[in-house]
Amino acid sequence: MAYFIDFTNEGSGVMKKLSLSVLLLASVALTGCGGGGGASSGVNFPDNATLAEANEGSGEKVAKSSVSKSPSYGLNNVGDSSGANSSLIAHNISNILSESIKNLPQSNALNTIKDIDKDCDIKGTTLSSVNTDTGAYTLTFHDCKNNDTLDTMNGSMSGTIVLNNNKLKKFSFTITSTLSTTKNSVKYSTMQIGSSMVVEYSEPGNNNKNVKVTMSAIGVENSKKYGCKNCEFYTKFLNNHDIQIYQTKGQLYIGENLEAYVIYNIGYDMSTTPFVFSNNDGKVIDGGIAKYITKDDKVIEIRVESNVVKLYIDGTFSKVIDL
Amino acid sequence: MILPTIVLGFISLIFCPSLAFAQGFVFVEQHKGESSYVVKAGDLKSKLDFPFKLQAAGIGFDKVHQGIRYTFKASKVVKNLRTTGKDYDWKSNQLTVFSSSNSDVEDFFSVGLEVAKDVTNRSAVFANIQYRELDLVWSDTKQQDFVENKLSNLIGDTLRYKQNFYQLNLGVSYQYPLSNRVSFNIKPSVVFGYVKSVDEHLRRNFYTVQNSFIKGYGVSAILAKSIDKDSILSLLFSYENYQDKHSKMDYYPPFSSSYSLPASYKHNIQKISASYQQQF
Repeated sequence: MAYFIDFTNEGSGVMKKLSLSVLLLASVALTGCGGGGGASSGVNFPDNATLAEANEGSGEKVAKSSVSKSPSYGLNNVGDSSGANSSLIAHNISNILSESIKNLPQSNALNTIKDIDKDCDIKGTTLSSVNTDTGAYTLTFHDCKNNDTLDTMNGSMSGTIVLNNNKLKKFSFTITSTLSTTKNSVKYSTMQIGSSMVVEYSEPGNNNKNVKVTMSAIGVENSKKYGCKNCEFYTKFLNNHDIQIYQTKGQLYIGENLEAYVIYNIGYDMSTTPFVFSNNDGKVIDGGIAKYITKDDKVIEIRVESNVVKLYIDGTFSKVIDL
Repeated sequence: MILPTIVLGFISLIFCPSLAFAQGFVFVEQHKGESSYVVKAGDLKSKLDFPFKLQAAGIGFDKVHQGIRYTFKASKVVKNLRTTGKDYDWKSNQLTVFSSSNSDVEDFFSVGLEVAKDVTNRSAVFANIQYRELDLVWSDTKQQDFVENKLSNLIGDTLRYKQNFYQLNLGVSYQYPLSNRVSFNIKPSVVFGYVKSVDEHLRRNFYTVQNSFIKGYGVSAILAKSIDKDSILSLLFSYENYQDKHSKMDYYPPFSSSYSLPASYKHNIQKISASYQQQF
């Protein structure tokens, strides 16, 4: 039972129960309409962005926004053709934050607001408050280093947590102060104020099973902007720690200033051809296919064949993408 | 602030009525040298070598006033000689990325003032302040990624490296007459200064700023021959080497706030110069 809807012990009367009913109804309606329960856009996507043309330029940008990985072995190298991969960002951010969310108090005490100034594992602090009655929380990172894969994290967010048998079932957040993470002190990743995500575990507390991430976010990674509106990804760690991701919906923004977008082709079931990113070097492994709708209903298709990323436009091979 | 001060000092030298009979000279010189930096972040390390080679032409004025010799020099690049810039990237001491690029001098400008006072008939102490700008541009980079085992050819401009040098040389000068008309002069010096260098990675949308407080040494050797009583022809060879072992490199990524990494900086330059001096 998720404790944030467990108001019954409170016994605070008709108004509260009515409010709860309205809340639940709204929640069901939103979910049914694909609103994602919190990942609707609070961040400003470019008003003048247009549906991308179905050409090699767009295809290359889509590939870099969906299958590239920021290399972690070059510091001041001259060339770096990779892009900011929204799906990996969704995966990484949801994983990083889940560690901190899990550290929030998980007691069933009611109507209490706790402020927790918790040391991060290695350095820095998190400042948290959580209402264990409603599951509402705020979380602020200050130079927080949580594990070996991440250097520092800064920024603030607010959201709600849902537990199931004291295990994390679902959490949402909206960025209230730009979230930034660094890896090796240099690989900056930021997420703008207003960006939001909802992370839902198919098996509570287990990110080795499918994790559904709904994201509406704009930010910067690898010195390049990314934007994904109402995007829905399913991610999980495979047994060998490779990362498997597939997309089911959403608008992927491309271009230096996110001036164009493509729409994930909901007619294609990517769960049968997910992208798999190697845990060792981040390269995408053979077999993934994703399809996106562009202008005039033409389809940009990104295929990974023999570890080579290929672009197809309306079913016709166009070029090999050099990531 | 140093540049205007030098120019004002020079103007006052020229126009002060008591400073008649200055000697003017013109010179051509060839510079060959290299700047390099190393920057570290965790187990990542990068080293970039920025060689340069150029020919410059300049003018100068030399005047002795109340026992102190003032020498003003200014020069500007007239010809770039292409070299090869190199960029090494390591992770955990394993070379991961290496690239070589055409390196060209886009601009070079130098202005300086030397003040010298004789100590004996053959020796003097001097202070030389100098301001220089050196702008390099890299192009047509060949980059080898050893992790991906991939070779990339990046066509067009890929990187700009701009340096501003504010330099002070303090040294002594010894003169040895080789004949009635020929003399040999050697000038060892210690070098102090500040170098601001901006490295703009055009293909990666970020730039870095390094502020280096340099220390090092320099030595000049000058062979001078009197042509007649009013003119001198001289040949100069000089070498300077300096570094800042513990400078910071500030990173400016696009759309994000800046941050600093530990870095070091080195610079060396050798110069050959021919000068013709005429009293007026």
